[in-house]
Amino acid sequence: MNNYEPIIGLEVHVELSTRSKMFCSCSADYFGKESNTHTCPVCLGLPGALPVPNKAALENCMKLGLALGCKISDESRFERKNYFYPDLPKGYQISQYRWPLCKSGIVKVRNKIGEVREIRINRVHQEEDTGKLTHSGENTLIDYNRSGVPLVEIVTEPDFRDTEEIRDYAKKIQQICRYLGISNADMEKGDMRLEANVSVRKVTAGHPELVEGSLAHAGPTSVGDSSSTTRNDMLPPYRVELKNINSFRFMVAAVEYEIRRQIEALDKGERLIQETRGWNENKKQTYTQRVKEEANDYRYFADPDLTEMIVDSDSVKKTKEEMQELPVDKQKRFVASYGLSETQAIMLTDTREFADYFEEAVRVGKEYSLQPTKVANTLINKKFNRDEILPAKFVEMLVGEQEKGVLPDEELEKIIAQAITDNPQAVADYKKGKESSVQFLVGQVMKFTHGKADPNRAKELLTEKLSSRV
Amino acid sequence: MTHKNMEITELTLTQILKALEEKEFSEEELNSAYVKRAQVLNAGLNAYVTVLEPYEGIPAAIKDVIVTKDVKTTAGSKILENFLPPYSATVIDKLESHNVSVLGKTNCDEFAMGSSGENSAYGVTHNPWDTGKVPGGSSSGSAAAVSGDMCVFALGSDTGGSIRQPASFCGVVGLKPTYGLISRYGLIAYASSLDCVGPIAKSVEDAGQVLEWISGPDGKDSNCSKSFTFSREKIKDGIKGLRVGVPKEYLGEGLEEGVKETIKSALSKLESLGAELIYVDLPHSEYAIAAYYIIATSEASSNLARLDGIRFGGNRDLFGAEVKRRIMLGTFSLSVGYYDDYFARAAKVRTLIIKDFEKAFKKCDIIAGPVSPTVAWNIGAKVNDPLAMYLSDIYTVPANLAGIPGISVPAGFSDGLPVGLQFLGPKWSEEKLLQVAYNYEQSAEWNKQKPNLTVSP
Amino acid sequence: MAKLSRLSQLPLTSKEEDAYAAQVEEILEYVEQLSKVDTSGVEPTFSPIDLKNVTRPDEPQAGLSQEEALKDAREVKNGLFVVKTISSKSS
Repeated sequence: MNNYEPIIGLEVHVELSTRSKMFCSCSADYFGKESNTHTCPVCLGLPGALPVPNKAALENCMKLGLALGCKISDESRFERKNYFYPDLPKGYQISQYRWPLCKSGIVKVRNKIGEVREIRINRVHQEEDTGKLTHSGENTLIDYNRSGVPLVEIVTEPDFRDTEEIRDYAKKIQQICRYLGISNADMEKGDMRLEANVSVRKVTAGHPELVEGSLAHAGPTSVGDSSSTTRNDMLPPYRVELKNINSFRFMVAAVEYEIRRQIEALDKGERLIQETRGWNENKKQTYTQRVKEEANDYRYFADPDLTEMIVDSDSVKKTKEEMQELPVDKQKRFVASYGLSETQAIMLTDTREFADYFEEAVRVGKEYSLQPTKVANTLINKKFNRDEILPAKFVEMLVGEQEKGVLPDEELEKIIAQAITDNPQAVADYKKGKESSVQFLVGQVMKFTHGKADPNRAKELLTEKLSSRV
Repeated sequence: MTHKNMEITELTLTQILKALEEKEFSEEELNSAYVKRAQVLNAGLNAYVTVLEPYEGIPAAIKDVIVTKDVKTTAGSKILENFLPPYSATVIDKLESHNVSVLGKTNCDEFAMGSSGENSAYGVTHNPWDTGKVPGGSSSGSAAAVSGDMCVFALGSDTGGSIRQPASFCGVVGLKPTYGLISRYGLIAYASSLDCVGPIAKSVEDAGQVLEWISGPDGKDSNCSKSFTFSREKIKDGIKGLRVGVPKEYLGEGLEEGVKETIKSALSKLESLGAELIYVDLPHSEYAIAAYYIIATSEASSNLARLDGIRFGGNRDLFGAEVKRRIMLGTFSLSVGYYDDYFARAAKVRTLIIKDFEKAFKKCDIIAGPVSPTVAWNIGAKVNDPLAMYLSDIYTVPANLAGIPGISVPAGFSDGLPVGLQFLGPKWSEEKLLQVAYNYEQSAEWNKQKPNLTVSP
Repeated sequence: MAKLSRLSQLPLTSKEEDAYAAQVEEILEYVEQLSKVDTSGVEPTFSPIDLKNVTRPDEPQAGLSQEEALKDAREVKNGLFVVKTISSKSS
């Protein structure tokens, strides 16, 4: 039985939430609007119309690139990607090819067994969206409201090895976009779109097998640093594109199905072809959408209607400074400044709103000598509507509770130690993986303290103590 | 300044502006005279695709590649036979803000691709000096209309000589501005990095005035950044000591004898006005046409992709032969495997041509030379030889590749047909160009001659 | 030539294909002369203008009304442009 490993690359398109479109001043807020009411000669592709790029969109693209660890190109250009399709009014899409705005970044993700792996970002570039097609009998109906809305495309190297990494990656991209305030990045709404390039390769005795002539996964041109070429040499000679899959759940299912399908085929000695496949949710299978006999000839060339973009190191620095603090950096800061655990920090930074709420509560709580860790714990464990109860009120509540005389930590720890000693079975169960044993132990602690302990704090201390025991 | 001995339609824009100010006649009379003349002469000349009937403003003829709101705009093509643009080009808005009215849309080679006026789906335009000859192209109708006094002035577009060459063939003034002076928003694109809108007029002074009216950034053309201010006084300054460069490469083989003599005569005239003639080198001249045709057709193949018949226009099989040829040539030059050897290489040769001009303009202030190797040829003579047609653009395409301004002024006749003298200047040197052109025009007085066209009352 | 006709979306009969092929080839032969030029170390010029970083502010403005947008189309239905469905994306 051969061992195979998946070789997966992802392309993510993020629709920016700017107020106007990428190359014209039409409103970009097209969702749910009456068809063809947000158009102008530019985004409708009428003769004589010319593009002028949206400054905010470019800044957002740069921010996203910086957030993904990319280098911002000193010189970048827009190019025309020429092809015919009804949703493409100009007969070309203004995009970037040879000279993208951002290149060579890194994103860290966790795989199925909890290891941290690095995914290399090949490029982050700016382009525009197409119109929307709907099919009706033998006709295709077109709405150009979405045509020209700014898109950012993020392309990775084929570094993904399992779907947990993909899940983590997609979540991170979404979180970063929301943190930066540049997009809601919601797959269901269409402001984040995912495409996966999937292939598999044999792994014999832990080493990937060399396959000749395999540039199937290579990016558009040689952008990215040279260290990537060694890995590219060993890529499979084909790849399957998974496209037009509108939910994350389905994408993961499709990728897993594809991996199995490809392994099966190769084991049987079949050859796999370069193709585009979609996902059939009813049959729970991928199916062929289009076979690529030849690579599309997009005849890219620099768009003469647009000027070159020069970015100097000062403006990059300025953008970095103005950017919203990213989740990863905020987490580090929370751990360092507030003495939180990594877990607590991750939970509190899930959204920018949550993190800001926490910090405001800590700030207000300072006056009452409220510990940040206490604020953290309560926020994490207590369910309430943060929109209705503002930080100041929350702090008020918390202080009130404290004054009621909840058991201080030193006392609590003694009782917990006792509870652990008294209930070896529960402890053993917990070690075996029975999460509910903790609840039982909390109950014991509460009983002992006649309800004076804070159950959440007790649970936390218990969990910590249990996890740290051998 | 009264013009009792001249017909209203013979007057220049400058004269008309003065006359209107002094209430010598009304705008209604002005328009009526031009509309009538346009309607009558169009039957024989076919300069216009559409003639409107304005009754106020200064009536101008607009090349049919410039969109006019709710007025049919065809680009000389069958594919846009019924196209009513929902917007007007910036240059139209600007003209209208200066009290100019659109008298009509002029005929042109389809999508501005041509050098004769024979590539239109709306019939051939005829040269007013000899209706059996071509008027030149692609702004064929605009040049013919100005030459035949069928409008006060016209707008054309110049991608490889399409203003200057027909102006030369029709004995009128044609100015191609610096690329980036005039907004291209609303100009149906042929080659985006080469296209320029410009005036075709009865006199240099007229051209200067129109240039000021249509120039300036509008926020809709990323490449348009500057404005031009026209000074009637400045252009009247003498040209004593002006260094006029004459490219060695331009007066050699290929130039028709009669044209050569006319140009030489004109150059002598410049000398007599105090200019200093210097020989300059433009060593990459011979490659200009090849570079031009690769770049222009490549850009065009992409620009015309929007004509898919969905939001406007007819099917793509309605394109004329010349357009189809150029689209395919362009598609080829951009194809994977050919991009480096064709498009990219042509773009590099373009850089060398630009450097040639930069070097030459260190030695001289203005370059002077012919506009076309020949005078107007017989209608039909070159239609079956596209390459021969391309080669006639040899003196005009370099200015488009370099983005520099150029003007053609009437310089005499050869075989009874007009010959134009071309001046080229560094970027943004329109003022100097107009100055030398004005001085030459006033001393040579070729503009006093008009083609023999009769309009029965 | 067939590939070019497809890439350019210009339907040609086989007779036309031959006619155009001959002309296009002649022109290509002419432009071949560019290979004689020494372009080593020369940067390409994609636009004769020296401008950089031209952008516009992110301010929405009114555009065309639905009526204006649709008025030149061959076929419209319920505010949408109509086209006959094609089988696959053409490259």
